[in-house]
Amino acid sequence: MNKIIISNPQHPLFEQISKLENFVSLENLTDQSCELLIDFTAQDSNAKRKLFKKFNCPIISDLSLNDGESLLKEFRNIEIAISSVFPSPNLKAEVFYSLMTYKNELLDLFEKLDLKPIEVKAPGIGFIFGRTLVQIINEAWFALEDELATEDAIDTAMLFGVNYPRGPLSWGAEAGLKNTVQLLEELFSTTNQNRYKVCEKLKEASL
Amino acid sequence: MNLNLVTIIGAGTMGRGIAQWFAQCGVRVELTDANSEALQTGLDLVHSSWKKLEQKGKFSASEVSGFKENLKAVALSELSTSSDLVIEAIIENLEIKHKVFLDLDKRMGPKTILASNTSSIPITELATPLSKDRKARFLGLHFFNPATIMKLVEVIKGSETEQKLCDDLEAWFKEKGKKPAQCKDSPGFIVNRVARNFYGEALRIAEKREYSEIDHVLKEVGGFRMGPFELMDLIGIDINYDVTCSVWQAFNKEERFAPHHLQKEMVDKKHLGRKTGQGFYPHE
Repeated sequence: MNKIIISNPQHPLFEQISKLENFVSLENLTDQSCELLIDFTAQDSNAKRKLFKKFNCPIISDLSLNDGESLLKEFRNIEIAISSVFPSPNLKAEVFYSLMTYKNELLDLFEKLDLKPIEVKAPGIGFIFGRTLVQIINEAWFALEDELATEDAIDTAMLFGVNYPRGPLSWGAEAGLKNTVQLLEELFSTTNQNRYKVCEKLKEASL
Repeated sequence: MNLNLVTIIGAGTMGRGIAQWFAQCGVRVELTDANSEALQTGLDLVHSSWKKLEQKGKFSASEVSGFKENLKAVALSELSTSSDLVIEAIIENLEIKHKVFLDLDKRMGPKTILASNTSSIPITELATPLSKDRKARFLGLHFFNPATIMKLVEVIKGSETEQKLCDDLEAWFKEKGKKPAQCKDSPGFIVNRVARNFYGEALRIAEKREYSEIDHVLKEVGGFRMGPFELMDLIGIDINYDVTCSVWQAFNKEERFAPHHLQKEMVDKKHLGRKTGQGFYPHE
Protein backbone atom coordinates (compact mmCIF):
# COMPACT_ATOMS: atom_id res chain seq x y z
CA MET A 1 0.00 0.00 0.00
CA ASN A 2 1.17 3.47 -0.82
CA LYS A 3 1.16 5.09 2.60
CA ILE A 4 2.95 8.02 4.16
CA ILE A 5 3.93 8.35 7.81
CA ILE A 6 4.68 11.87 8.92
CA SER A 7 5.82 13.45 12.17
CA ASN A 8 7.61 16.52 13.47
CA PRO A 9 10.32 16.98 16.14
CA GLN A 10 7.73 18.43 18.55
CA HIS A 11 6.31 14.93 18.93
CA PRO A 12 8.15 13.12 21.78
CA LEU A 13 8.24 9.91 19.69
CA PHE A 14 9.69 11.65 16.62
CA GLU A 15 12.99 9.81 16.74
CA GLN A 16 11.35 6.38 16.81
CA ILE A 17 8.74 7.34 14.22
CA SER A 18 11.39 8.72 11.88
CA LYS A 19 12.97 5.25 11.68
CA LEU A 20 9.80 3.67 10.29
CA GLU A 21 9.42 2.68 6.68
CA ASN A 22 7.47 5.23 4.57
CA PHE A 23 8.44 8.03 6.93
CA VAL A 24 8.53 11.61 5.65
CA SER A 25 9.36 14.50 7.89
CA LEU A 26 6.63 17.15 7.97
CA GLU A 27 9.03 19.79 6.68
CA ASN A 28 9.89 17.64 3.66
CA LEU A 29 6.31 16.76 2.85
CA THR A 30 5.35 17.64 -0.71
CA ASP A 31 1.97 17.47 -2.42
CA GLN A 32 2.25 13.79 -3.00
CA SER A 33 -0.72 11.48 -3.15
CA CYS A 34 -1.08 8.27 -1.16
CA GLU A 35 -3.63 5.67 -0.14
CA LEU A 36 -3.24 6.21 3.60
CA LEU A 37 -1.80 9.10 5.59
CA ILE A 38 -0.53 8.31 9.09
CA ASP A 39 -0.07 11.62 10.82
CA PHE A 40 2.07 11.66 13.94
CA THR A 41 2.60 15.40 14.04
CA ALA A 42 2.19 17.39 17.24
CA GLN A 43 0.76 20.71 16.15
CA ASP A 44 -2.18 23.03 16.71
CA SER A 45 -5.56 22.54 15.05
CA ASN A 46 -5.06 25.20 12.34
CA ALA A 47 -1.85 23.55 11.20
CA LYS A 48 -3.64 20.20 11.25
CA ARG A 49 -6.43 21.63 9.09
CA LYS A 50 -3.90 22.87 6.52
CA LEU A 51 -2.33 19.44 6.43
CA PHE A 52 -5.60 17.50 6.13
CA LYS A 53 -6.79 19.71 3.27
CA LYS A 54 -3.91 18.36 1.19
CA PHE A 55 -5.10 14.76 1.49
CA ASN A 56 -8.28 13.10 0.26
CA CYS A 57 -7.19 9.65 1.35
CA PRO A 58 -8.07 7.94 4.66
CA ILE A 59 -6.14 9.42 7.59
CA ILE A 60 -4.93 8.09 10.93
CA SER A 61 -4.04 11.13 13.01
CA ASP A 62 -2.52 11.89 16.38
CA LEU A 63 -4.93 14.45 17.84
CA SER A 64 -3.34 14.66 21.31
CA LEU A 65 -3.24 18.46 21.23
CA ASN A 66 -6.47 19.10 19.38
CA ASP A 67 -10.22 19.33 19.61
CA GLY A 68 -10.62 15.92 18.01
CA GLU A 69 -14.42 16.07 18.05
CA SER A 70 -14.44 19.10 15.76
CA LEU A 71 -11.68 17.87 13.45
CA LEU A 72 -13.42 14.53 12.98
CA LYS A 73 -16.64 16.31 12.00
CA GLU A 74 -14.75 18.58 9.62
CA PHE A 75 -12.60 15.90 8.00
CA ARG A 76 -14.66 12.75 7.47
CA ASN A 77 -11.61 10.92 6.08
CA ILE A 78 -9.98 10.79 9.57
CA GLU A 79 -10.75 7.18 10.29
CA ILE A 80 -8.69 6.72 13.43
CA ALA A 81 -7.67 9.30 16.02
CA ILE A 82 -4.91 8.52 18.49
CA SER A 83 -3.15 10.23 21.38
CA SER A 84 0.52 9.45 21.89
CA VAL A 85 2.14 12.79 22.72
CA PHE A 86 1.83 12.60 26.51
CA PRO A 87 4.13 9.89 27.85
CA SER A 88 2.31 6.93 29.34
CA PRO A 89 4.26 5.16 32.11
CA ASN A 90 2.58 1.95 30.89
CA LEU A 91 3.41 2.65 27.22
CA LYS A 92 -0.28 2.77 26.30
CA ALA A 93 -2.13 5.25 24.12
CA GLU A 94 -5.79 6.13 23.63
CA VAL A 95 -7.28 5.20 20.27
CA PHE A 96 -10.64 6.18 18.80
CA TYR A 97 -11.90 4.26 15.77
CA SER A 98 -14.33 6.10 13.57
CA LEU A 99 -13.90 3.28 11.05
CA MET A 100 -12.12 -0.03 11.52
CA THR A 101 -10.68 -0.41 7.99
CA TYR A 102 -7.11 0.41 9.01
CA LYS A 103 -7.14 -1.05 12.51
CA ASN A 104 -4.48 -3.63 11.63
CA GLU A 105 -2.26 -0.96 10.09
CA LEU A 106 -2.43 0.93 13.36
CA LEU A 107 -1.82 -2.12 15.53
CA ASP A 108 1.21 -3.01 13.43
CA LEU A 109 2.54 0.51 13.81
CA PHE A 110 1.91 0.57 17.56
CA GLU A 111 3.81 -2.66 17.94
CA LYS A 112 6.79 -1.12 16.20
CA LEU A 113 6.59 1.86 18.54
CA ASP A 114 6.19 -0.40 21.58
CA LEU A 115 2.75 1.07 22.33
CA LYS A 116 -0.44 -0.70 23.36
CA PRO A 117 -3.80 0.75 22.31
CA ILE A 118 -6.57 1.55 24.76
CA GLU A 119 -9.79 2.06 22.85
CA VAL A 120 -11.98 5.00 23.87
CA LYS A 121 -15.48 6.06 22.87
CA ALA A 122 -14.55 9.57 21.68
CA PRO A 123 -11.45 11.71 21.27
CA GLY A 124 -12.92 14.70 23.13
CA ILE A 125 -10.48 17.60 23.42
CA GLY A 126 -7.03 16.14 23.94
CA PHE A 127 -8.49 12.76 24.90
CA ILE A 128 -8.87 11.77 28.58
CA PHE A 129 -5.30 11.31 29.76
CA GLY A 130 -3.71 14.31 28.05
CA ARG A 131 -6.45 16.68 29.16
CA THR A 132 -6.18 15.59 32.79
CA LEU A 133 -2.40 15.57 32.78
CA VAL A 134 -1.91 19.07 31.37
CA GLN A 135 -4.18 20.49 34.06
CA ILE A 136 -2.06 18.84 36.76
CA ILE A 137 1.15 20.07 35.10
CA ASN A 138 -0.27 23.60 34.77
CA GLU A 139 -1.07 23.71 38.50
CA ALA A 140 2.41 22.45 39.38
CA TRP A 141 3.77 25.39 37.37
CA PHE A 142 1.43 27.83 39.14
CA ALA A 143 2.80 26.45 42.43
CA LEU A 144 6.33 27.01 41.17
CA GLU A 145 5.43 30.53 40.04
CA ASP A 146 4.06 31.25 43.54
CA GLU A 147 7.35 29.93 44.98
CA LEU A 148 5.34 27.44 47.02
CA ALA A 149 8.19 24.93 46.91
CA THR A 150 11.16 23.86 44.80
CA GLU A 151 10.68 21.80 41.62
CA ASP A 152 12.10 18.81 43.42
CA ALA A 153 9.78 19.24 46.42
CA ILE A 154 6.69 19.53 44.17
CA ASP A 155 7.54 16.36 42.27
CA THR A 156 8.49 14.52 45.48
CA ALA A 157 5.19 15.49 47.10
CA MET A 158 3.11 14.13 44.23
CA LEU A 159 5.19 10.97 43.87
CA PHE A 160 5.13 10.05 47.55
CA GLY A 161 1.97 11.74 48.85
CA VAL A 162 -0.48 10.45 46.23
CA ASN A 163 1.64 7.87 44.41
CA TYR A 164 1.64 9.61 41.03
CA PRO A 165 3.75 7.58 38.60
CA ARG A 166 5.78 10.69 37.67
CA GLY A 167 6.31 14.05 39.30
CA PRO A 168 4.17 16.56 37.35
CA LEU A 169 7.07 18.87 36.49
CA SER A 170 9.31 16.14 35.15
CA TRP A 171 6.29 14.61 33.37
CA GLY A 172 5.69 17.98 31.68
CA ALA A 173 9.32 18.18 30.62
CA GLU A 174 9.11 14.68 29.16
CA ALA A 175 5.92 15.52 27.24
CA GLY A 176 7.33 18.81 26.03
CA LEU A 177 6.25 22.11 27.55
CA LYS A 178 5.19 23.39 24.13
CA ASN A 179 2.80 20.45 23.78
CA THR A 180 1.43 21.06 27.28
CA VAL A 181 0.80 24.73 26.50
CA GLN A 182 -0.77 23.91 23.13
CA LEU A 183 -3.35 21.56 24.62
CA LEU A 184 -4.17 24.02 27.40
CA GLU A 185 -4.65 26.76 24.80
CA GLU A 186 -6.87 24.46 22.73
CA LEU A 187 -8.97 23.71 25.82
CA PHE A 188 -9.19 27.42 26.62
CA SER A 189 -10.16 28.49 23.10
CA THR A 190 -12.67 25.66 22.67
CA THR A 191 -14.41 25.93 26.05
CA ASN A 192 -13.77 29.62 26.77
CA GLN A 193 -13.19 28.71 30.42
CA ASN A 194 -10.56 30.47 32.52
CA ARG A 195 -9.73 27.23 34.30
CA TYR A 196 -7.53 26.41 31.29
CA LYS A 197 -5.52 29.65 31.36
CA VAL A 198 -1.87 28.79 30.98
CA CYS A 199 0.49 29.70 33.84
CA GLU A 200 2.74 32.54 32.59
CA LYS A 201 5.87 30.87 33.93
CA LEU A 202 5.00 27.70 32.02
CA LYS A 203 4.33 29.69 28.87
CA GLU A 204 7.69 31.46 29.14
CA ALA A 205 9.51 28.19 29.80
CA SER A 206 7.90 26.63 26.73
CA LEU A 207 9.31 29.23 24.34
CA MET B 1 18.71 16.99 65.39
CA ASN B 2 17.74 14.47 68.08
CA LEU B 3 14.15 13.48 68.68
CA ASN B 4 14.05 11.32 71.80
CA LEU B 5 10.48 11.91 72.85
CA VAL B 6 7.61 12.79 70.53
CA THR B 7 4.07 13.55 71.67
CA ILE B 8 1.07 12.97 69.44
CA ILE B 9 -2.19 14.70 70.30
CA GLY B 10 -5.19 12.84 68.90
CA ALA B 11 -5.55 9.06 68.62
CA GLY B 12 -7.68 9.03 65.46
CA THR B 13 -6.55 7.51 62.15
CA MET B 14 -3.81 10.05 61.47
CA GLY B 15 -2.61 10.50 65.06
CA ARG B 16 -2.21 6.82 65.81
CA GLY B 17 -0.60 6.20 62.41
CA ILE B 18 1.97 8.92 63.05
CA ALA B 19 2.56 7.58 66.58
CA GLN B 20 3.06 4.07 65.20
CA TRP B 21 5.58 5.29 62.63
CA PHE B 22 7.67 7.20 65.20
CA ALA B 23 7.62 4.22 67.57
CA GLN B 24 8.82 1.98 64.73
CA CYS B 25 11.68 4.45 64.17
CA GLY B 26 12.89 3.82 67.70
CA VAL B 27 11.56 7.08 69.14
CA ARG B 28 9.74 7.17 72.47
CA VAL B 29 6.17 8.32 71.84
CA GLU B 30 3.42 9.59 74.11
CA LEU B 31 0.03 9.26 72.42
CA THR B 32 -2.80 11.22 73.98
CA ASP B 33 -6.41 12.11 73.32
CA ALA B 34 -9.01 14.18 75.16
CA ASN B 35 -11.27 11.13 75.03
CA SER B 36 -9.81 8.31 77.15
CA GLU B 37 -11.83 5.64 75.35
CA ALA B 38 -10.59 6.85 71.97
CA LEU B 39 -7.04 6.80 73.36
CA GLN B 40 -7.33 3.17 74.48
CA THR B 41 -8.93 2.19 71.14
CA GLY B 42 -6.12 3.97 69.28
CA LEU B 43 -3.45 2.12 71.25
CA ASP B 44 -5.26 -1.22 70.78
CA LEU B 45 -5.45 -0.66 67.03
CA VAL B 46 -1.71 0.07 66.79
CA HIS B 47 -0.95 -3.07 68.82
CA SER B 48 -3.24 -5.11 66.59
CA SER B 49 -1.51 -3.70 63.50
CA TRP B 50 1.89 -4.73 64.90
CA LYS B 51 0.52 -8.21 65.67
CA LYS B 52 -0.57 -8.59 62.04
CA LEU B 53 2.76 -7.28 60.76
CA GLU B 54 4.58 -9.75 63.01
CA GLN B 55 2.43 -12.61 61.70
CA LYS B 56 3.24 -11.55 58.15
CA GLY B 57 6.93 -11.62 59.01
CA LYS B 58 7.41 -7.90 58.45
CA PHE B 59 8.70 -7.43 62.02
CA SER B 60 10.18 -9.89 64.51
CA ALA B 61 8.63 -10.49 67.93
CA SER B 62 11.49 -8.65 69.62
CA GLU B 63 11.09 -5.68 67.27
CA VAL B 64 7.38 -5.50 68.06
CA SER B 65 8.12 -5.76 71.76
CA GLY B 66 10.51 -2.79 71.39
CA PHE B 67 7.88 -0.78 69.49
CA LYS B 68 5.36 -1.41 72.27
CA GLU B 69 7.92 -0.22 74.79
CA ASN B 70 8.32 2.95 72.78
CA LEU B 71 4.63 3.79 72.54
CA LYS B 72 2.72 4.84 75.63
CA ALA B 73 -0.85 6.05 75.96
CA VAL B 74 -0.82 9.01 78.33
CA ALA B 75 -3.67 11.14 79.67
CA LEU B 76 -3.64 14.70 78.37
CA SER B 77 -3.01 16.08 81.88
CA GLU B 78 -0.02 13.81 82.44
CA LEU B 79 2.08 14.49 79.36
CA SER B 80 5.83 14.90 79.82
CA THR B 81 6.81 18.52 79.48
CA SER B 82 10.22 17.57 78.09
CA SER B 83 8.94 16.36 74.71
CA ASP B 84 11.17 17.30 71.76
CA LEU B 85 8.29 17.47 69.32
CA VAL B 86 4.53 17.63 69.77
CA ILE B 87 2.35 16.89 66.73
CA GLU B 88 -1.32 17.79 66.90
CA ALA B 89 -3.62 15.58 64.81
CA ILE B 90 -7.10 16.45 66.02
CA ILE B 91 -10.30 17.76 64.39
CA GLU B 92 -9.87 20.52 61.74
CA ASN B 93 -11.28 23.29 63.93
CA LEU B 94 -9.25 26.46 64.43
CA GLU B 95 -10.74 27.35 67.81
CA ILE B 96 -10.13 23.92 69.32
CA LYS B 97 -6.60 23.76 67.89
CA HIS B 98 -5.83 27.22 69.31
CA LYS B 99 -6.85 26.05 72.78
CA VAL B 100 -4.65 22.97 72.50
CA PHE B 101 -1.60 24.92 71.30
CA LEU B 102 -2.03 27.66 73.91
CA ASP B 103 -2.05 25.02 76.62
CA LEU B 104 0.98 23.26 75.11
CA ASP B 105 2.86 26.55 74.79
CA LYS B 106 2.48 27.11 78.54
CA ARG B 107 3.21 23.54 79.63
CA MET B 108 6.01 22.44 77.35
CA GLY B 109 9.68 23.25 77.83
CA PRO B 110 11.15 26.15 75.83
CA LYS B 111 12.86 23.88 73.30
CA THR B 112 9.81 21.78 72.43
CA ILE B 113 8.78 22.04 68.79
CA LEU B 114 5.04 22.33 68.23
CA ALA B 115 3.58 21.08 64.96
CA SER B 116 0.20 20.59 63.36
CA ASN B 117 -0.83 17.83 60.97
CA THR B 118 -3.53 20.09 59.55
CA SER B 119 -4.33 19.70 55.86
CA SER B 120 -6.34 22.88 55.50
CA ILE B 121 -5.72 25.51 58.20
CA PRO B 122 -2.91 28.03 57.54
CA ILE B 123 0.07 27.38 59.81
CA THR B 124 0.62 31.09 60.48
CA GLU B 125 -2.99 31.43 61.63
CA LEU B 126 -2.62 28.43 63.93
CA ALA B 127 0.45 30.04 65.51
CA THR B 128 -1.33 33.34 66.28
CA PRO B 129 -1.91 32.81 70.03
CA LEU B 130 1.58 31.45 70.71
CA SER B 131 4.44 33.26 72.42
CA LYS B 132 7.06 34.86 70.16
CA ASP B 133 9.73 32.25 70.88
CA ARG B 134 7.33 29.39 70.31
CA LYS B 135 6.20 30.81 66.99
CA ALA B 136 9.75 30.30 65.76
CA ARG B 137 9.47 26.64 66.80
CA PHE B 138 6.02 26.07 65.30
CA LEU B 139 5.40 24.51 61.89
CA GLY B 140 3.20 22.20 59.86
CA LEU B 141 4.09 18.52 59.53
CA HIS B 142 1.52 17.06 57.16
CA PHE B 143 1.59 13.26 57.01
CA PHE B 144 -0.41 11.16 54.56
CA ASN B 145 -2.64 8.21 55.31
CA PRO B 146 -1.55 5.52 56.14
CA ALA B 147 1.30 7.34 57.85
CA THR B 148 3.33 4.16 58.36
CA ILE B 149 3.36 3.52 54.61
CA MET B 150 3.08 6.83 52.77
CA LYS B 151 6.53 8.37 52.61
CA LEU B 152 5.65 12.02 52.16
CA VAL B 153 5.74 14.56 54.96
CA GLU B 154 5.01 18.14 53.91
CA VAL B 155 7.19 20.38 56.10
CA ILE B 156 5.35 23.70 56.17
CA LYS B 157 7.06 26.90 57.23
CA GLY B 158 4.84 29.49 58.90
CA SER B 159 5.69 33.16 58.55
CA GLU B 160 7.69 33.11 61.80
CA THR B 161 9.07 29.57 61.73
CA GLU B 162 12.88 29.37 61.86
CA GLN B 163 14.21 28.15 58.51
CA LYS B 164 16.83 26.05 60.32
CA LEU B 165 14.12 24.16 62.16
CA CYS B 166 12.48 23.18 58.83
CA ASP B 167 15.87 22.17 57.38
CA ASP B 168 16.77 20.09 60.45
CA LEU B 169 13.42 18.29 60.46
CA GLU B 170 13.65 17.67 56.73
CA ALA B 171 17.05 16.04 57.24
CA TRP B 172 15.77 13.99 60.19
CA PHE B 173 12.80 12.64 58.24
CA LYS B 174 15.03 11.82 55.28
CA GLU B 175 17.35 9.87 57.53
CA LYS B 176 14.39 7.86 58.83
CA GLY B 177 13.23 6.93 55.31
CA LYS B 178 10.50 9.51 54.73
CA LYS B 179 10.39 11.77 51.66
CA PRO B 180 9.95 15.24 53.12
CA ALA B 181 8.96 18.18 50.93
CA GLN B 182 9.33 21.68 52.31
CA CYS B 183 6.77 24.26 51.27
CA LYS B 184 5.36 27.63 52.10
CA ASP B 185 2.21 28.14 54.11
CA SER B 186 -0.28 28.33 51.26
CA PRO B 187 -3.77 26.81 50.74
CA GLY B 188 -3.69 23.05 50.21
CA PHE B 189 0.11 23.12 50.60
CA ILE B 190 1.53 21.06 47.69
CA VAL B 191 -0.49 17.86 47.34
CA ASN B 192 -4.00 19.08 48.06
CA ARG B 193 -3.44 21.94 45.62
CA VAL B 194 -1.72 20.20 42.70
CA ALA B 195 -3.96 17.12 42.91
CA ARG B 196 -7.20 19.12 42.68
CA ASN B 197 -7.42 18.88 38.90
CA PHE B 198 -7.01 15.11 38.88
CA TYR B 199 -10.57 15.16 40.21
CA GLY B 200 -11.73 18.49 38.78
CA GLU B 201 -10.81 17.70 35.19
CA ALA B 202 -12.15 14.16 35.40
CA LEU B 203 -15.48 15.54 36.64
CA ARG B 204 -15.67 17.87 33.65
CA ILE B 205 -14.77 15.10 31.21
CA ALA B 206 -17.55 13.04 32.85
CA GLU B 207 -20.12 15.49 31.49
CA LYS B 208 -19.83 13.52 28.25
CA ARG B 209 -18.18 10.27 29.26
CA GLU B 210 -18.69 7.40 31.70
CA TYR B 211 -16.84 7.33 35.04
CA SER B 212 -15.59 3.82 34.34
CA GLU B 213 -14.04 4.84 31.00
CA ILE B 214 -12.21 7.77 32.60
CA ASP B 215 -10.94 5.63 35.49
CA HIS B 216 -9.87 2.91 33.07
CA VAL B 217 -7.88 5.30 30.85
CA LEU B 218 -6.20 7.13 33.72
CA LYS B 219 -5.07 3.83 35.24
CA GLU B 220 -4.09 2.09 32.03
CA VAL B 221 -2.59 4.99 30.11
CA GLY B 222 -1.77 7.44 32.91
CA GLY B 223 -0.40 4.80 35.25
CA PHE B 224 -2.31 6.19 38.24
CA ARG B 225 -2.99 3.52 40.84
CA MET B 226 -6.66 4.42 41.12
CA GLY B 227 -8.97 6.37 38.85
CA PRO B 228 -10.36 9.68 40.15
CA PHE B 229 -13.90 8.34 40.63
CA GLU B 230 -12.75 5.20 42.43
CA LEU B 231 -10.53 7.37 44.61
CA MET B 232 -13.29 9.87 45.43
CA ASP B 233 -15.51 6.93 46.42
CA LEU B 234 -12.74 5.66 48.69
CA ILE B 235 -11.86 9.02 50.28
CA GLY B 236 -15.50 10.08 50.62
CA ILE B 237 -17.10 12.37 48.05
CA ASP B 238 -18.08 14.77 50.87
CA ILE B 239 -14.51 14.99 52.16
CA ASN B 240 -13.10 15.55 48.68
CA TYR B 241 -15.78 18.18 48.03
CA ASP B 242 -14.92 19.97 51.31
CA VAL B 243 -11.21 20.10 50.38
CA THR B 244 -12.10 21.40 46.90
CA CYS B 245 -14.32 24.13 48.34
CA SER B 246 -11.73 25.07 50.96
CA VAL B 247 -8.91 25.46 48.38
CA TRP B 248 -11.25 27.29 45.98
CA GLN B 249 -12.33 29.77 48.70
CA ALA B 250 -8.74 30.27 49.84
CA PHE B 251 -7.73 31.14 46.26
CA ASN B 252 -10.50 33.75 46.02
CA LYS B 253 -12.68 31.46 43.91
CA GLU B 254 -10.15 31.03 41.10
CA GLU B 255 -11.96 29.20 38.32
CA ARG B 256 -9.38 26.45 38.04
CA PHE B 257 -10.18 25.28 41.58
CA ALA B 258 -13.97 25.56 41.28
CA PRO B 259 -15.95 22.56 42.54
CA HIS B 260 -18.13 20.76 40.00
CA HIS B 261 -21.92 20.66 40.38
CA LEU B 262 -21.80 16.86 40.30
CA GLN B 263 -19.87 16.83 43.60
CA LYS B 264 -22.56 18.84 45.35
CA GLU B 265 -25.33 16.75 43.82
CA MET B 266 -23.70 13.57 45.10
CA VAL B 267 -23.26 15.07 48.58
CA ASP B 268 -26.88 16.29 48.65
CA LYS B 269 -28.07 12.79 47.69
CA LYS B 270 -25.81 11.30 50.40
CA HIS B 271 -24.06 9.27 47.74
CA LEU B 272 -20.73 9.68 49.49
CA GLY B 273 -18.85 6.65 48.22
CA ARG B 274 -17.95 3.37 49.89
CA LYS B 275 -19.05 4.51 53.32
CA THR B 276 -22.69 4.92 52.25
CA GLY B 277 -22.75 2.03 49.79
CA GLN B 278 -23.24 4.36 46.82
CA GLY B 279 -20.93 6.85 45.23
CA PHE B 280 -19.97 7.18 41.60
CA TYR B 281 -20.18 3.39 41.70
CA PRO B 282 -22.41 1.10 43.77
CA HIS B 283 -20.65 -0.59 46.70
CA GLU B 284 -21.92 -3.59 48.61
